[in-house]
Amino acid sequence: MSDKNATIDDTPLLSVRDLSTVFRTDRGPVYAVNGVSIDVPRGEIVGIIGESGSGKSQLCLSVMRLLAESGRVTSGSVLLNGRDLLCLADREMRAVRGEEIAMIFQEPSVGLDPLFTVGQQLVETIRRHRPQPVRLAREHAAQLLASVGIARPTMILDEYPQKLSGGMCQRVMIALALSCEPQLLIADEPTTALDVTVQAQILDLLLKARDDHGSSILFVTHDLGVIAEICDHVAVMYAGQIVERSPVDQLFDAPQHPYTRALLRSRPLLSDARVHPLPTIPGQVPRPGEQPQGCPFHPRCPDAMSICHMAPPPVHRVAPRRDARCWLLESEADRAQASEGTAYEGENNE
Amino acid sequence: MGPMNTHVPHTTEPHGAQHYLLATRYNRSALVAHLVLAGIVCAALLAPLVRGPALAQRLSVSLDPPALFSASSQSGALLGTDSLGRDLGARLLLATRVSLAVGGLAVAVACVVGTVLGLLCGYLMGWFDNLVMRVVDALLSLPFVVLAIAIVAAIGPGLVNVAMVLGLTGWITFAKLVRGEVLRIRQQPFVEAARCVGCSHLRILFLHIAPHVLGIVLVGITLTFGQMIIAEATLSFLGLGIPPPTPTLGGILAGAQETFFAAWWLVAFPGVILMAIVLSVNVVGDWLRDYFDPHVPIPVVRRER
Amino acid sequence: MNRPLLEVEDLATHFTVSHPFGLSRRAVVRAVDGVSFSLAEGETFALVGESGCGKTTTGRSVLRLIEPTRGTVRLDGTDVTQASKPVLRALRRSMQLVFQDPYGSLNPRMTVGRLVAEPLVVHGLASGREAGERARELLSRCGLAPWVADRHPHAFSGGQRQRIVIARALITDPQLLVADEPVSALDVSIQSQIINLMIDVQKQFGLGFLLISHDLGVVRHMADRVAVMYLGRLVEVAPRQEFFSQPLHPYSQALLSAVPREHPQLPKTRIALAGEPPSPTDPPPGCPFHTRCPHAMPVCSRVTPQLRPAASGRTVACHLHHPPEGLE
Repeated sequence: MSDKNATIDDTPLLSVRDLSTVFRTDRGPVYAVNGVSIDVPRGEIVGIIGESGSGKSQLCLSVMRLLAESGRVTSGSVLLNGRDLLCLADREMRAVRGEEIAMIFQEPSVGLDPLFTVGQQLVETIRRHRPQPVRLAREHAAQLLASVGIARPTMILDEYPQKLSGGMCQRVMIALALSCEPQLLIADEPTTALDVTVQAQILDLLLKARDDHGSSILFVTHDLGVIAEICDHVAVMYAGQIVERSPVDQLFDAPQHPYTRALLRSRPLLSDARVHPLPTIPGQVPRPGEQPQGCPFHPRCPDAMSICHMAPPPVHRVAPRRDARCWLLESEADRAQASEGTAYEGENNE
Repeated sequence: MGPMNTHVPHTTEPHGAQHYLLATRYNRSALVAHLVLAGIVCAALLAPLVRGPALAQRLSVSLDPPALFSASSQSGALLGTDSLGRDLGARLLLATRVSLAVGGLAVAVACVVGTVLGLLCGYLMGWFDNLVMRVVDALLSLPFVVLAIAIVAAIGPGLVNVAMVLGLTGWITFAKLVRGEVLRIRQQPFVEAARCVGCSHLRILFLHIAPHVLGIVLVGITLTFGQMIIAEATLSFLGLGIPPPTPTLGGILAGAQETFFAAWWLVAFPGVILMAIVLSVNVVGDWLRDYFDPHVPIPVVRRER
Repeated sequence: MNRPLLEVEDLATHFTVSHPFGLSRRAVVRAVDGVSFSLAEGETFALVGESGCGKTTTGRSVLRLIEPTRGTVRLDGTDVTQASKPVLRALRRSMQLVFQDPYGSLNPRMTVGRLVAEPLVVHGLASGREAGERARELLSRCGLAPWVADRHPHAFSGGQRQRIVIARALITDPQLLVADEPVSALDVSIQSQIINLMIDVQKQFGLGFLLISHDLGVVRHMADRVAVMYLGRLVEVAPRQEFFSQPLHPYSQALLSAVPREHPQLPKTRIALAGEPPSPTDPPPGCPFHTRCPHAMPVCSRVTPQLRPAASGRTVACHLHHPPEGLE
């Protein structure tokens, strides 16, 4: 684990500030990402946990500027080494994507072209970033494959991606992503499609990439176990917002937001004695575009108060690099003041 | 209201034909296509009222320009006359009726035969599928006209016979479309779920799979309808179609080609009607496909802007 | 009379795959290769393993949705594998399947009410209004409002659809429910709802559960007994408590140790496995696991170990626990 004290005054590698992403739909604009701020310090693995529709994947795509046609970043900034990626020209952004940020996806086959061998794709990527003779690039490619735990790299170089298993493809994707030694690796559910034994190998590989190259990793998942396994810091996303940010130990020891608490409680555990019924979170995950007023979690929250229906909670700082958005954390007076404020606004609107 | 309450049932939602009419009202192109098609069908239904003098030959006024556009018209025929001096408007009315009947009948035959065979091929696979697909290959390797000549020569010309010939060549499109769709649908988990529940093959095929084929069949109908009317014209032109003096759209078009430079109306008016039929059938077909697809939301109230 | 509800003996399902251009000879995939187990009324028997190990094929073969190559399956004494088509169709009343994919397993063209009532209609148990009433009743027992019956499946989220699937599976009052990854397609916050529902209906209906899952957390929570499958064979069958506290087979141990820790401060106790499972078209000779086993001995590549009883009511197929004769 990295030294947490050292990172406090250090400027983070990636700093996302107040990012909002909107999609045009038949039902009008839908906020997939709603005012998200998150830092990825150098050499740290930051996890984003959320369910489907929480906006975690769209956040990654916004950072990479790979949003679908109908999506648009409406506000905020994405600072990589202090440079705002959102202000770059397309050509500059393409260079950033290979050199400084790389991304791995849930479906490894998505990133690999079935018409070319693994070797051809690796060699091409390596030479694009560092021009060199094909022979040298191929040697480099074989080394890379060996470093991601592939037993016979020279054989695999001549295989087509569709001949490889899911775990093997994901290794090749990681090798491809690491080939240009990026400073930041964005991994969007990279192990969700894999079996647990293979998942364990891939997670080890990512940890090794961090330790060997000092890469930072933004790791997106829906699995709390994976978070516990490799992350240093976690952000919990719900309905397009980050509801809690915390160092990983403290998140598991003392979750601040009711959603995080409920998620942790409702997991069927390996170590626990059997409890029935398992604690549940009532209701359904809100669909994008159907976010309720006030706090997005209030319809499912066991502790919802009247203020939760009216006003979105402010970010409450619990400790350095630890905060949550929940009215329960605010003082009585702040809540009262806020509810007066919304009442006043409500009158104005009518 | 929170999002948890969004699935409240709309008990006041209109049903059946009323729902269809309401839904159609708010789709402008579908509405226009429905009206055009309804107009053409009504005209075709009223065509038998045109009799006697309007259809008589009057060689004195042959190739008379349409009275609608030309002051020099002698016959007074609104859409002009043909080379035998017959009123084009009256003939077009009758021709539309005949063409719609031939096209409709041919499509109906093709659709029923093709859909049933396609369903069975896709579901049963194996030897039955092989047999039918080899027949399809054989039919596709023969030129349509040669095939039509052979069949018409065997069973003789006439409206019903022509429709049969067209239908028995047109089923191929349906069989291929439907078979492909069934092969796709049978892979879906709900088909296995139906087996698991204990459904018989007939039930699975006709209750679970066939409704999903509806969309592609509608597309097939709209695609083939125009083709059938044009194919009938080809046959008529070759003298294998519906024998004169019964007018058909294709027949009038075919006959007009000798006098095309002298009498544009003989090409323009049947052409416009043919186009209007094919186009509106296509639009209505697209609309029906969307309407019956539960995934496509159909608003029955005007969307707020 | 303590006859098990479901008895599976030496079940095997092989597929032949031919090369698309017929260039190479046909390969035989031994998806399931001699699996035996039994399941009592009210019991939950879990089949765990990684993708491709044959657990899903086993479930489908038990229900005869896939024709098994050999072996017998008896449900409450009736032979499922030998049943004629009409008998089998009638048998389907008593054995149902809950699918992994709640989006694909409900026909999108039918209303929820018709879908749930369909098994009743198919088996001639009820029709028309009565079937509709029963469907509504079952939907509400599965935690859904009665008006749900009038809607099409696409109006509902994954968790709600899985409730519909469960209602449909239960309406004929079956004895056996095969649940193939019933919660893995659902959101984390929804999974516990469905797990609770399944445990509740199991108690209410006295169902036998064949749970197929790769999620050991879910298995730990729901199962009474656990069977681990590798390359088409069972390598260990054990009561839940024993399995999770002390798995015997090296593969079970590796599988359990690979599950991500529940808390970042728990110790890392991973047994690293090299490589990936071999292809079921070309299984290695001897023990199927010997190519990756950390304890592999020379004998393991020659002699296939059989499932044999071990301590505290479990069975295991491993030479470490039952050294082959002549080597002791």
